[in-house]
Amino acid sequence: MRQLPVIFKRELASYFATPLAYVFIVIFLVLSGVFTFYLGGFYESGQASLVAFFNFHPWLYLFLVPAIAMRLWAEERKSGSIELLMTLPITRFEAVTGKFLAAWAFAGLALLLTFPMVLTVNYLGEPDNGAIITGYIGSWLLAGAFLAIGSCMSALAKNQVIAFILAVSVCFLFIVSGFPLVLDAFSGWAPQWLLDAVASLSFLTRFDAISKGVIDLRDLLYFVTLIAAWLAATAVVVDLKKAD
Amino acid sequence: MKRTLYSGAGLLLIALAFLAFNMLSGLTLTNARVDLTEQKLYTISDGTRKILGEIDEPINLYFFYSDKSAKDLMGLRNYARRVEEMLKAYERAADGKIKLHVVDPEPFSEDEDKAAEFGLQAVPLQQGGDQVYFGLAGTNSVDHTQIIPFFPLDQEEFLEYEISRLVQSLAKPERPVVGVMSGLQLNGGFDMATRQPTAPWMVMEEIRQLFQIESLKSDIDQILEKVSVLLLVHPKDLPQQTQYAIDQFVLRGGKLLVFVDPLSEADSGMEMPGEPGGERGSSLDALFKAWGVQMLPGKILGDGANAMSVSMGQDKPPARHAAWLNLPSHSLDQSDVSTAGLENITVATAGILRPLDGAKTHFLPLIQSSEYSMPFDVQRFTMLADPEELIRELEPTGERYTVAARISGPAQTAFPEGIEGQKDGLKAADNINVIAVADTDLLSDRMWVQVQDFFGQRVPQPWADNAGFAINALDNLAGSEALISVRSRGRFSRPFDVVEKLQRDAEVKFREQEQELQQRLADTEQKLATLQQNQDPAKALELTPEQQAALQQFVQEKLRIRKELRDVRFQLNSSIEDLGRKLKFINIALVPLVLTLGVLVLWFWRRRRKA
Repeated sequence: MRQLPVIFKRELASYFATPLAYVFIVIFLVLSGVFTFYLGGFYESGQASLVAFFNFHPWLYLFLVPAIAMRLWAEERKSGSIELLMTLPITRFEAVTGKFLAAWAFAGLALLLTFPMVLTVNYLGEPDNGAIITGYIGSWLLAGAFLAIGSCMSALAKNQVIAFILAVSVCFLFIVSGFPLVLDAFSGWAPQWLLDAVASLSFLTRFDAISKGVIDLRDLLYFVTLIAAWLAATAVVVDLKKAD
Repeated sequence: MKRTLYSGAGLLLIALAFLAFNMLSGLTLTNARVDLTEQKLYTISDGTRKILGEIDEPINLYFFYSDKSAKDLMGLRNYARRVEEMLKAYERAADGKIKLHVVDPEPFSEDEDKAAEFGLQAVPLQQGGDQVYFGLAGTNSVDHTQIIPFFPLDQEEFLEYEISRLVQSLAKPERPVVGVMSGLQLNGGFDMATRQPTAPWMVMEEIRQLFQIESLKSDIDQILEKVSVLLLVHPKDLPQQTQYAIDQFVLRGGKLLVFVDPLSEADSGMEMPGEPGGERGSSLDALFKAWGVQMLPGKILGDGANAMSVSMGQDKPPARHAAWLNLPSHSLDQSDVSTAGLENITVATAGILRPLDGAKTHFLPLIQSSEYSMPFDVQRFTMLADPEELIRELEPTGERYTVAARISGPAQTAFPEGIEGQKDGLKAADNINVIAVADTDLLSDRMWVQVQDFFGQRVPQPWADNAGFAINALDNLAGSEALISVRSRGRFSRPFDVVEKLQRDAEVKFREQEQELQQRLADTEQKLATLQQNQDPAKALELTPEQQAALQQFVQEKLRIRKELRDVRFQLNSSIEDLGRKLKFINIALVPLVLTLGVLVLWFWRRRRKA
């Protein structure tokens, strides 16, 4: 556990050693602004709330977060540095969690840089700032969930592009599991409880509830356990593949 | 191989643990939530808790929701879950006094029959799909039934109010008593002009169907205990003892719906013998003052944007009347139960309500005029030949005036010394409940309904929601104080104040310029008319060169003025669009630009250090 901060720092610093961090943040900020104002019609809606802003986060993350996550393990494996990493006196748990936390902190930083949106909406009217705070919490948890999935996919594939595609696909399934697209596959034969269980896996429903302003312990636990489960899976996969 | 097997098992175990945990937590942790919204929109309010605490006899609630039929409708499913959890919260908070039954009325089942028996509505949500039930029925120990036929998805903000109202009407099932005191002939009377008896006002017929009516004379000195709401219409020079009775009634928790009017068109001015016929205003000044509210004396609301077209007789085009208003839904407070969901309310020569400076009570406008409004003097209406004059005289102040308001909060008596013979009445109350409306005409049939005689039965065909407003207000007031407080929770609409102000300013500017240009147009026309008058009758059809020149000038001037008006209109929204552009830039490009700059600076610095 003592090595966790070391991994975290090393990993976080590595983002800023290359232009990657900068490019990611700029793309994220521009896209979220464009989506909010042009697709979401934020200004025209005349309502002081950030619904139009948060609504697009799941879709933005779907492509941007796997892009951060894809290098987490794939690069280490490709360059062979994973063997060095594994010979260091650190546990797999420390390595997996440290890398994940660094990526998550980085995503959080990108999210924080959207602060002009909060200032804007407070300038224009009197928004419900409680709901805005939960919106940010929900968005960050969502990014964490995407990252955990991306981390596992990155551990699974040696090639970063493949890791990216895998991560996007799995994340997409989690997004749409509340939609007829997925439910239809079950609705013919599965019992209602299973259908509800599948629907309850949807990121969208969970995120929607949180960004409305209500933090339900179940939604919180959902994201936390989802992250924990995918990180555990990452650890298993890293262990399995480290020799490949 | 062994390794892969172990890993595979490990992954499967992780997935199963995750699924099992979340299914379990979904079933068990149903009440652990923090509501961080400003108004605690997702938490049961104290008002509801109070209502639940007062239930004596057990109540059964049947939540009918077609779970299976709605399996593909995520929006509905989410809302249904919300309703169900809300109901469960009621069940928990009621401490055993409420028993909740969740029923999925499958097609052709006994449950479906039961839902239909209760009078619930089944809604077909897809073409050829099953019908979906999504409503609530409640019964009490004496088998009174109350229902919410269907939960509309767009009225989530009233969910708690509707459920609480249902619970309360089951807990206290007797029909509330409405005391009616009126200076107008609400119950029908005698028309002096036609020498015919007149029918009762339709609004009274509708009120009678929902409430028990108790007619009160306008000189009484006490309002009966059993009256829960007092409907006071057109109070004119009420004797002191009656005013005192109303004062005491309101202070002891009685609810009041009062309609006053600076100029009541429905008042024939003939009912009270010995009174000069011209005086058709009413007020309740002393009491209003005690409640921190005022109807502007001698003022009538004019509104250019909501002026109604009134018929001016045969062969004449209808004219717009700036004091006869058709107030659309955005003039009505959509977050208050009494006005939400109504389409339009019409008023005629209405007054203006205003909170008094330093008032302790809370003044919530329910019906408001547009920004193109101004107060007219009531005298202006005594000799009004052509209503179009009003429109021309209208100089909008940019302010929205209040026609109806809800007044609540702490209030003092209007009679601190009491009155003769009654010295030791109530002096103050922590909370009063009054809805004041500055128009009486909105109640009269001609302002909102056409009544057709259908085989001796009077069938109303409403074209405005005036009666709906009166009934909603009575219904809301007839509920307990706790129920009324459930209402006052959500302000769901959060408009861009800054943009609205820009819009108001721009429109005032537009009106000013428009008026100036209209004035110039009128002047030009005037000049032309003068020229024509000087004309020799013999040469009626010929135009002198001066006239021709003037005509030419007139046409050109008119074209120019039109163009200017167009330009002004075009510029109307420019400041708003400007702000929008700035905000877009700030939110899309500013931070990325600053970041780029930072990265460049960093790069140069590093390079120089290296060099």
